[in-house]
Amino acid sequence: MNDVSIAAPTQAEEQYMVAPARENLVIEARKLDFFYGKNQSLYGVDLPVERNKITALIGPSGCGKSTLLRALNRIYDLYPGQHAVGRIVLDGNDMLTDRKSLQRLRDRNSTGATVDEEPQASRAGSDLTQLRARVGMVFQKPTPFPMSIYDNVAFGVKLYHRKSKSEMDAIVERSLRRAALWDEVKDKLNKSGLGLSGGQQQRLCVARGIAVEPEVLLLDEPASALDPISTAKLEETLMELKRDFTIVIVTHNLQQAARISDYTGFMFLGKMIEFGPTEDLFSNPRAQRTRDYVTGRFG
Amino acid sequence: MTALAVSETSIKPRNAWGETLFRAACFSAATLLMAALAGVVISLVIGGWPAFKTFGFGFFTSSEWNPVTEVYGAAGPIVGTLITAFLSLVVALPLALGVAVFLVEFCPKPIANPIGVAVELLAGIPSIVYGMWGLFVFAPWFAQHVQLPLVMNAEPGSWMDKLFSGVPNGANIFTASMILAIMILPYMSAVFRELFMTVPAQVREAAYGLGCTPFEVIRSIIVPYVSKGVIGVIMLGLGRALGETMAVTFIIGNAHGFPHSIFDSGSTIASTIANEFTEATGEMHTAALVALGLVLFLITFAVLAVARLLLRGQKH
Ligand SMILES: Nc1ncnc2c1ncn2[C@@H]1O[C@H](COP(=O)(O)OP(=O)(O)OP(=O)(O)O)[C@@H](O)[C@H]1O
Ligand SMILES: [Mg+2]
Repeated sequence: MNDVSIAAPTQAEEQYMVAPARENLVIEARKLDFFYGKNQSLYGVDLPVERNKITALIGPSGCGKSTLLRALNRIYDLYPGQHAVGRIVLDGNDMLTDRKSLQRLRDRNSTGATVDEEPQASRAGSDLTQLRARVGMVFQKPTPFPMSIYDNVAFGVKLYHRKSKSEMDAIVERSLRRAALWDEVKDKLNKSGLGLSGGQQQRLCVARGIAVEPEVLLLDEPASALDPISTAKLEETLMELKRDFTIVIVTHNLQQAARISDYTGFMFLGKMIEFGPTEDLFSNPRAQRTRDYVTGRFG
Repeated sequence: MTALAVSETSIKPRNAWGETLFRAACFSAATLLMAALAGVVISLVIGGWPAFKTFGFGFFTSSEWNPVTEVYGAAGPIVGTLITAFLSLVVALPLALGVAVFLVEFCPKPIANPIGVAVELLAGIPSIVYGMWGLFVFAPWFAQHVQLPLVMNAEPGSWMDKLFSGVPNGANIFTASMILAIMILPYMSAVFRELFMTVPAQVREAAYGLGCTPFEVIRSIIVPYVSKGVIGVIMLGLGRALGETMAVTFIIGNAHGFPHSIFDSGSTIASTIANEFTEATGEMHTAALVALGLVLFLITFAVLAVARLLLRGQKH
């Protein structure tokens, strides 16, 4: 995309990409520009996400990490002023422009599903809800719903599946355990989710996101309000989850990114400066900016 | 002495007098309000006492209101007040919720704000304008096109006949309720809209992010999120409908008796007082009107008290 934009960063920088093999990708952003009204926040960003891997996004505050995640499950669609240009490809289908591919995705989804997992008829009409069911998101700020802790976790599941009480109980417990919250809330599952502490609310939101078992889980700084023990538990969970899911995580904690992720993308001023296997990026960064950032010289 | 001690240290001297004065001012403002309220209640009780004493409990149960024979029973206006307020609320509540939901969730942004402002402006139009419109436009239209056909087609003695009987001039309990509904509709819509906009954007995003449809977001997230406020708005609307005077006086027909159908003319407490206060010559007439005022005061008070109780049981 040869966009000549006045607002683009002046410094023409090279992009260092070491992408995973194309056939292993589950979701991918290609040459993505993003606009908040007239303000451009992403400039030709590429993000290849490999299936069953953890991909970390790092970069200084305001560089567009959250914006990129919001584009991946099109949550920005709620706001008429915001739009994206480029391509977001999910399993080979363009999610951004091509409504037909959404249609194809939907058809395949409803025929390929087992009886137990048949989507409710009322939902079939909506492309976006389908996309968001497959690409789940946990937001930077905790967002518990005004209902009990149990219902917070069960809510998303109920949208898509009819489960018996005991099945649902099991899902809720497993999700809360995975989010390292079960022990703290198991005796007050019927209390409101709004009554939890900030860190607990954040884990509740992670549990809610896990419960619906999306193919891709987008996590925006899920550990920013957590103590080291909960953080460790959450990281353990993520490592475990990647067997079934694909995870994209935004983090300001470089050690965390180095510990858990398989691929890391470094963003700066709305651009993807460097993307590659985590080990390479941290031990042998190729871009000067990446080197400065991971060695703590700026950011 | 202490003031001197303070000023000698490096601590900035604080004006203790100002502090005391401020506190006293706030205290007296609050006291004044309570005193004024108590004064109103006491004078209502004293003024209405002769009526209560003479007619006893019959003041509430009898529907005979006759200034000539000096017999006053307020059942008609009391029932009229309750019915019109309730009917108007039943009509206005779903519409107001619908308007607010539309404006917040579905309306394209560029026109949502102008419409929102327009609704707020509508809420500020004086009630007498609505009353006049009701009398000159709505009532005749209603009589011609709704009431008359219904009455004509109802079999004598059937439930329809009972429900709809009345002089087909459009001035009746039902039209008054509709005018009330039209009046409280923009008010309630405006407050609902404000209320819905208090739901944090992140919470809405999270719900959509799970794959909710707009309807699911509204039903399961937004309405529960503001449930406290919803009850509050309902009670405010009810309070307004209960006390509304001018528009209702225009259109309710001002008959004192017990209304026999929803198309019967009737009266409310407020309309009765407004209509008769200037003409009340007899002592008992005045006392009866003041007593009515006290009843309205108590009804409104009860509504607000119930709202408080409901809200208290609703803590998140
Ligand atoms: N709702 C919005 N309207 C306008 N501009 C926005 C909006 N949200 C973000 N931006 C802008 O987009 C740019 C990228 O923001 P973004 O939230 O994606 O950063 P981030 O990398 O997630 O930062 P952080 O690490 O602080 O969360 C910023 O310059 C910000 O000012
Ligand atoms: Mg962010």
